Amino acid sequence: MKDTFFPGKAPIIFLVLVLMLAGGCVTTAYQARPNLAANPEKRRIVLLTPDVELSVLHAGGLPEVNAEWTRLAKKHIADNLARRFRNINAQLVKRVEKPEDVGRDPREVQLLKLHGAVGRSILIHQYDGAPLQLPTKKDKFAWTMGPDTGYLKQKYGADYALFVFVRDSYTSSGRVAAIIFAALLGVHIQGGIQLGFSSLVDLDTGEVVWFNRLLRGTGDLRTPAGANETLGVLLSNFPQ
Amino acid sequence: MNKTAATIFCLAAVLLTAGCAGDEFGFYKKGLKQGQGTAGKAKAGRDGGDASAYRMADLAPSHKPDAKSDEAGIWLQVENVERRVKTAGNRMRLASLNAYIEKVTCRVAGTYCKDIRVYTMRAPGFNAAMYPNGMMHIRSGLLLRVENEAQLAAVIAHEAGHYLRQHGLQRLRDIREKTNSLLFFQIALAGAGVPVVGDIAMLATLAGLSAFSRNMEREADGYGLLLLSRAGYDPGEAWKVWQYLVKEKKADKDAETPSFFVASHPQSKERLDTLRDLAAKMQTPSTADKGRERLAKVVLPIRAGLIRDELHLRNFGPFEFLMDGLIERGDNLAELYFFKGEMHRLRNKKDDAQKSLEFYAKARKAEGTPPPEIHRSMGLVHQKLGHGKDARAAFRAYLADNPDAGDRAMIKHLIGKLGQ
Repeated sequence: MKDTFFPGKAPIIFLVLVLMLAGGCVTTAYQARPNLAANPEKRRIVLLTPDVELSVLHAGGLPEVNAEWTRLAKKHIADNLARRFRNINAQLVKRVEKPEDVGRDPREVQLLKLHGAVGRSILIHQYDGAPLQLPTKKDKFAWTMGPDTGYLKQKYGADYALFVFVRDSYTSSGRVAAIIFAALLGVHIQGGIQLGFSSLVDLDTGEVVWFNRLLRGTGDLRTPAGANETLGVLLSNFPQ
Repeated sequence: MNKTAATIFCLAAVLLTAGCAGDEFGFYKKGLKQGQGTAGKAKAGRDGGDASAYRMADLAPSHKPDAKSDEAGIWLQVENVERRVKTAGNRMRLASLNAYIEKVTCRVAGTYCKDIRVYTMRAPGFNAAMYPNGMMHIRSGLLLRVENEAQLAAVIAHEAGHYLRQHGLQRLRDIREKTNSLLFFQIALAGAGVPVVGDIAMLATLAGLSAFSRNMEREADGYGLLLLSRAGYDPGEAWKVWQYLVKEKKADKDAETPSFFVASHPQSKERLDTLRDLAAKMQTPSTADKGRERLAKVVLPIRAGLIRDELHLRNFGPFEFLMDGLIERGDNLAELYFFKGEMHRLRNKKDDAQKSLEFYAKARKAEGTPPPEIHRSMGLVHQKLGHGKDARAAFRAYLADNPDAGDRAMIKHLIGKLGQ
């Protein structure tokens, strides 16, 4: 297995570590602007393919992605966002995507990758207590993806793009047994965790208007009610 | 993070690949523990000898996992990886190369042709990897090391074997079972206050997982050889790939032999011998094909770039071995002698400067065309040796040959510094 080309897992492990080092299980949202454009014509938001994976955490600690839960979670997220945006008089741009079309557009994939890089930089350099917090970022929130985001504006007819990244794990019954068994012997074992981040980007300028992160031991994206609760936490302080 | 968690992270990291060629190869006599499909019993068939033990899997062409299964979860994860790979910066996009690789893949994969997608990634070194959803990666360094199309097909067929036998899924299930039982064992021992035994249990678990992985490699070897032979390639070419690797490794003074506990692949020697014995038992028709020219036609135009990638590793032992092998095959010798010169220039030990000049001179006389930077390299060596006049002449020749060179200003500066 030496030298295997392996792009998949490392960024997630990295992210878990960063989020853990950044400390605290609270969510802290950053805003560059408190409001969306006032013009109702300019309040269109597109949700880009959410990078979401739901896993079951086996007794031994191996996370195993569950395709069915993941599919449901993506649907609940989209449904819930449509309702939330209606409430603040913003419009969620309809975007029907067949599974086989996901990732077909190389320019869009590159922008998703770029967002991943910008998002990780925010986690590392912006947050108080982050491993590499930059003095220049201490008192202001100023991040941008650059003007290439204009491509998404053209493609979807949207003014903003919402990016969502969530990794959510659920404790299997075997893991629950292990946790109880271990607790009896005074050993702590971690159960499922929910971690993620989300950002809202102004597609005219590429500016990150709003950003939030999530790391906690509760939350459930498998049901509409659970998704509503999780998105309530994730989207706290969302521009109005 | 405790040690178990760290181990599990590592295991999760290797999990997504169903298997890879690595730097070893070998063979397997029975059937692997059966997850899906059966290897069946050995019987004398038209493929001859033990090879008939590797009956094609029960995996149907165009297989898609059941949406509610654990397999669907792995596919989902790997599909995310594949989206990124499609737009990866080091993915090779040369249409003629990709069409060629696809043709070879289809020839060995037969009815599974559409299920296997090969991505050639620009990277030095020998490796290939198979993912559970049919995505295969091969490193461009592989193209330098195989002598002919049959050898390239042997590697692709081995990887296809991992896919056909659903090794990714089998490995996921194996890791799940073994880590589950490990955890309970460790909790019990930690509670009893004997953590050292817990570490031994973890080592045993690792050894168990590695043994399972080695068996999957052996099985993929078997399937690979069968696919190769059925596609009309000479099965006697497969073991030569691994023989090459054994020798290349010998040329590498820094190489380490992995411990039995963590070796995911069987010893190259074992794989080589078994593959050779098995191929000898197969009835190879006289029409069996090697395809040396077909491979050369695709690789030669991009070879200089691939050799540069290898040189950038600055691992001169295996590099020299690789170059000597290519020189023996003898296509565009001017290019190959130039890179041997480059190797000496960059290694920069005793006598290397002189040797590099000898190879540059050889390159200019040999059959073929040396790369356009040959005069710059000569100039740099002459400059180092204090041959001002020769250095100036070489730099001027470089600028004359490459009027649009990006480093024109730098070279002019060097000429100026050398004085008259």
